[in-house]
Parts: sequence; C-alpha cells; structure tokens
Amino acid sequence: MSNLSRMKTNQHQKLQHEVADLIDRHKARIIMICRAYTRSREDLDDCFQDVATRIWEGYANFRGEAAEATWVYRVILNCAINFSRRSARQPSTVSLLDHDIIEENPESTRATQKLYTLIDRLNPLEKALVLLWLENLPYSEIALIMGISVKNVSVKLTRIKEKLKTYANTTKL
Amino acid sequence: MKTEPHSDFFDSLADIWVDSRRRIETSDIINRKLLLQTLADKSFWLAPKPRAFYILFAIIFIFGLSYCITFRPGYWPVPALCIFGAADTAWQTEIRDRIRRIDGGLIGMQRNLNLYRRLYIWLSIVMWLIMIPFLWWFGNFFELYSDPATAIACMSLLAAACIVVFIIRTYKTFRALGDLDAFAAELKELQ
Repeated sequence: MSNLSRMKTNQHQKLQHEVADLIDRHKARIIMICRAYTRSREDLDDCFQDVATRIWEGYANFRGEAAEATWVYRVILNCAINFSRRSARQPSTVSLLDHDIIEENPESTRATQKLYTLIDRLNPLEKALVLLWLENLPYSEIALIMGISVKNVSVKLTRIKEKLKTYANTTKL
Repeated sequence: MKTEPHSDFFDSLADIWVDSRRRIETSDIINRKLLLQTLADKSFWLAPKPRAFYILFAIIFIFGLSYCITFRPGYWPVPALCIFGAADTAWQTEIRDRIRRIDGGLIGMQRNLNLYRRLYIWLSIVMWLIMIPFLWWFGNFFELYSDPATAIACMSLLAAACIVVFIIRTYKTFRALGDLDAFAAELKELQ
C-alpha cells in the first residue's frame, strides 16, 4: 500500500472514530427524539441509522458555526421528521442498539410510554418544539434550531402545552 | 430567554423525560463495532473526503479543458458541455451542503430544498435545450448521419438514452428530497 493511500485510510478511520464518538456523546438525544417519530423498534433502529448516516455525511461540512449540540439537534429532527414521512419505503437494517437498555424497568417504561403517547398526538413540527422544550433548551436555541423567531417559539409552545393538557385530560393513559 | 417554570403536569413530563434520558446516557447502548462498520460501509461518494481529492479533481479537469481548447478547437462543444456540467455539479454540491448543514434551521433547510427542486427542474430544461444542438454536432462530428433519416434515428436513440438517464436521476433526487409539499404546508402553518 502506498504512503498516500495509507494516509487516506488512516484519515478515514480517524474520521470514523470521531463521528462514532460524536454519536455516542449524543446517543440519548438521538434515541429519545427518534423514538417520538417512530412506532416500532425496527423503525427506531432504522431512524437511528439514518441519523448516524446523515451525521457522517454532514460531518465534513460542519463548520462549527453553530454549537455541536445545535447542529446535532437539527440533523436528528430533520431525519426523524423525514423518516416518519417515508418510513414505509425504508429498507430493513441491522440493529445498532441494545433495546433491553431502553426498556430497563417496567415502571419507567410505562411512564415513558405515557409521555410518548401524549406527544404522538401532535403534528411533526409541534412534536419537534415540545421535544426541544423537554430537552430543557432555552427558547433562543430552540428558535435557532427551528429557524423561527423566539417569540414564535414562546407562542407556539404555550399553545402546544394547552393541547397536551387537553389530551392528557381527555385520554385515559 | 430560558423556559418558564413548569406546572406540576409539565414537571412530571419533564421528569419522565430526564429519567429516561439519563438511563440511556449512562448505558452502553450502542454497538460501536457495528456502528463503525456501518460508517465504513457507506460508499466513497457519501463519505467525507479530504480537500486533496477536490484539488486533484480540479487540476485534472482544468488540464483536460485547456488541452481541448488549445489543441482541439473543433471539439469546442465538449468543453462547453463539461463547463456546464461542472457548474451544475458545483451549485448542486453547494446547495446540498447547505441542506446537510441545515443552514437557517429546519425552515431554512426546507427553503433550500424547495430552491433545489425548482433550480433542478429549470436547469434540466436548459440542459435539454443545449442537448439538441449538441446531439446534432456529435452525430456530424463522428459522421453518424449519412442521410436525414439516419440523422433522425441516431438523434432519437441518443435522446432516448439521455431521457432514461434523466428520469432515473430525477427520480432518485426527488425521492431523496422527500415529501416536500406536505412539509411546506405544515411549515406555513407553524409560522
């Protein structure tokens, strides 16, 4: 193997590890948000893989203009929303996740299920807003991720919360 | 501005979220070996490339063009089409990068997707208009047309091949862009 191709391979492997580390750092965000846009374990796997691929594709172009977390949130939401639209066309993939960890104890699984059932009644963009709010991000960052004004975020979130409360009261969970 | 204090109901939702998130964060949920394998399996064209690749590609392209223009002036439609192709690739790469970087947030991204779709269609129309004289020149240059009937047959055959390529390319591109119309309607509603 020539020096040039060995250098290229090393650089490629280094990039792979960097991206794998980044995915590992943000795994909770990716899984929690993807889960809100998918209906089965298989879909969650596919969505996760989709996000991993997008991060891989976009990593070289990530210029650091936005914070890493902001960029990752954008990628996850974009992938998850698009995935929920075309999930029927997705090919089956190998699982990268250990599902036993996600559903560790029955008590917390039931509570999480309740939360997701509530969120599931919102449309994809409302879902995105509420998920970012649950991540406890400031309105300014939510606005940056969504590409809307801070005021718009505030108004929309107030309406979404009212909706969620109504759903919680009318639905027996 | 920070999020306002939660009511009890929203407190409990946030607690469930935080609890679930913490469990995943502290776990070893990702199969790293498979993840690395998945990244490695992505094709060369999808993977991030070193700057040297683009520089090398540009040098070969410029050298080829210079040679063609200087020593083979009769071939002028070939470099003309190459320049058009390079410009087409450059703007497509730029706008795809903007989409991948998600410039302007989700809404900016959708705006870029719509711009991409519109420009893609218009550039395809322009390309077709350019292709008609090019096919005529191509056939004459290689002496494919001995009479008008052969000319029409050859041009039709070449045009048919171009149409097939165009349809496959457009189908793939638009499938990758996803269901934009429904999304755009929802964005309008959000704003």
